[in-house]
Amino acid sequence: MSRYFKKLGIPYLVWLFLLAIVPAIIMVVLSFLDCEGTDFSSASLTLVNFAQFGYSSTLIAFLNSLLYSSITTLICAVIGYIVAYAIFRSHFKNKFLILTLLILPMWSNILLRVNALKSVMEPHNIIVSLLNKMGINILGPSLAGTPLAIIIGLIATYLPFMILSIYTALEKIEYSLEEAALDLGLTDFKKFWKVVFPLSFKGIVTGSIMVFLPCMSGFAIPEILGQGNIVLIGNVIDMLFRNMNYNVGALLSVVILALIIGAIALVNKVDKEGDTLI
Amino acid sequence: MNKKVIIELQDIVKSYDDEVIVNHLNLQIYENEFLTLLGPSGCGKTTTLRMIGGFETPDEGRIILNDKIINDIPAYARPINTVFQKYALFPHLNVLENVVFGLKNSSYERKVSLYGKEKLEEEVLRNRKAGKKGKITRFEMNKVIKEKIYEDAKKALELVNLKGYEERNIDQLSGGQQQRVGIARAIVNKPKILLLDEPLSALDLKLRQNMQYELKEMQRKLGITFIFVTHDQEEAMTMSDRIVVMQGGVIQQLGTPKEIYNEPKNRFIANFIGESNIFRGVYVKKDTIKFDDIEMNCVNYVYEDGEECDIVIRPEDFDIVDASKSNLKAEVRTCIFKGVHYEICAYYKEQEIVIHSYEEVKPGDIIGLKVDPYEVSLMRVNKDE
Repeated sequence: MSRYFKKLGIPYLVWLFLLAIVPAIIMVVLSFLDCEGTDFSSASLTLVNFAQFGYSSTLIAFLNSLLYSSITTLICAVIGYIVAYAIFRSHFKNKFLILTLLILPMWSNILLRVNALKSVMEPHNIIVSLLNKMGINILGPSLAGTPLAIIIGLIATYLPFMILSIYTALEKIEYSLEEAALDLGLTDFKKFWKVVFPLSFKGIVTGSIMVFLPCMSGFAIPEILGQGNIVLIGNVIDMLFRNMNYNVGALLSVVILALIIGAIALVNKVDKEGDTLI
Repeated sequence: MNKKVIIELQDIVKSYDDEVIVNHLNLQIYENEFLTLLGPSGCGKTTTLRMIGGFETPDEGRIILNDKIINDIPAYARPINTVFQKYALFPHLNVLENVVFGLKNSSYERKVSLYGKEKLEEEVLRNRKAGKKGKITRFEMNKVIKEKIYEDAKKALELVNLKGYEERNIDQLSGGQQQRVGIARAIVNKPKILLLDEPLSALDLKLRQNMQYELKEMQRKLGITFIFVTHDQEEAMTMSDRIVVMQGGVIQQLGTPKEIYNEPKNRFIANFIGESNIFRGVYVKKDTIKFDDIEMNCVNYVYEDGEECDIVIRPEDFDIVDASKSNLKAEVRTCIFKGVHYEICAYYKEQEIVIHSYEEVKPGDIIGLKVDPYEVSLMRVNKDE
């Protein structure tokens, strides 16, 4: 790469350094300190923060996060693949438009969307009242506050990431490969499992990372849709920071960060060619 | 010449969006022959090949393979395999897995019929530990079949000179090697017909020439029909038993390379296959033709006396003589060294003549030209042109 292009990278490096690396270092430092907020004057080096891992509430929140993220990722992968494949195989002239429509909800604020979702999950919601006006008297399901509500919320929010990355992978498959499979005597069904699916698998991996990570660390969706009944690790961290307990909050964040980086490293190792999006 | 027809195209028509690509094409292809479809791009040769392969269905007409109409049989059910222009190798599989792909994924019944039921059962019994009895299970059969498939794949790789490359990834191979894998992947299925869609067009000249000989050699060894598509006339000449020259979705001429080179049927072929000089002349009487008052001799053409005809003379068939010794005198414009020969561009009146000669001449020289009678070929004048 020429020197000219290297210079173009400088703003990004500064950005990365100031907004990602420095904060990460501060977090690591904070997790080994005992202090009030970011008031370092009274700070002392300690390992007492690690006691947090002994509390069953932390562990349950952590396991909850793992469980909800895994279920969401799995369901997103299945639905996402079906949707992406249907779009890929469809004869629409403007497939980009269809994809744009799918992403469209993401243009509005996530809190707005989740709150709207919550209100639909109450027994008395906009749909029910409209139906009542038309003379149909039913009550909506009271989903809000249940695990199902959280799962639905997570899927609705993060499914587009999965669809997009699987669609991208499918689009990259050269049509001549499918012809070659047919030529070699494979039926359409076998062609899908032996050629199309393996070649689009990277899209599933990429999509899974993009769904799993925000599910793992997010706190808004479980808080709004779970109504405090279900606590994920994101909520614990949120609570700690709100109570000015920066040290333990930072420690938990660092641990999750380490887990996430470890997971990505693992994926990269499995995916030898390294051309998943990350 | 009593050859058996393996595949026949009857009155095939194919069009896209009202544009006729293949226009009432009739063609018989024999067993064990190397047939080339030759023509400029857009002439319908690739579409014809794709219809044989089952990737396109003809709008009209019939494709008959071994006396059966196969128009509606999908690609995967035809005993035909294709070597693709851009290789189309599976990037998620290594070389060996690419080659076994077709056999491994075929149905159990096809595998058994391919290797012979008795032979397989015999082998199963031979492999059994002493004392073991009972019916032969599908599991045991599959194990033997798998061994045979991998054995065949290795043999196919050996045939295309890729022994030792079995475990390589596809992206670690050069273009030429990838194309060899493509060929191995196709021939290992023991197809009745192998289709080759400009398989050498992405290779450099030297490699291409080597592959031409290898392909021809392979076809002889395997004894299967090769249908080859190319726009390169030299490639077609080198390899083919017969050449089909196509243009505008129509067969212009069908014949051996020699026939097509020496006796082109019309101006298009004369120009497309090598270089030629074409003169408008008159067939005076048997073995005598006339071009602008210059009489020449020809042999083996029977036209009507006084009929107009086109006279075709290849650049290399002219002999340069002293101007006084020939009626056909031409003035040299340019003389370019081409390596093996000089390419001379000379003018007789308004007519440009291209001559290949081993001797150098100077621009401005007046030279005499002579042609042996057997090197003169004639074409009937097409009234439509």
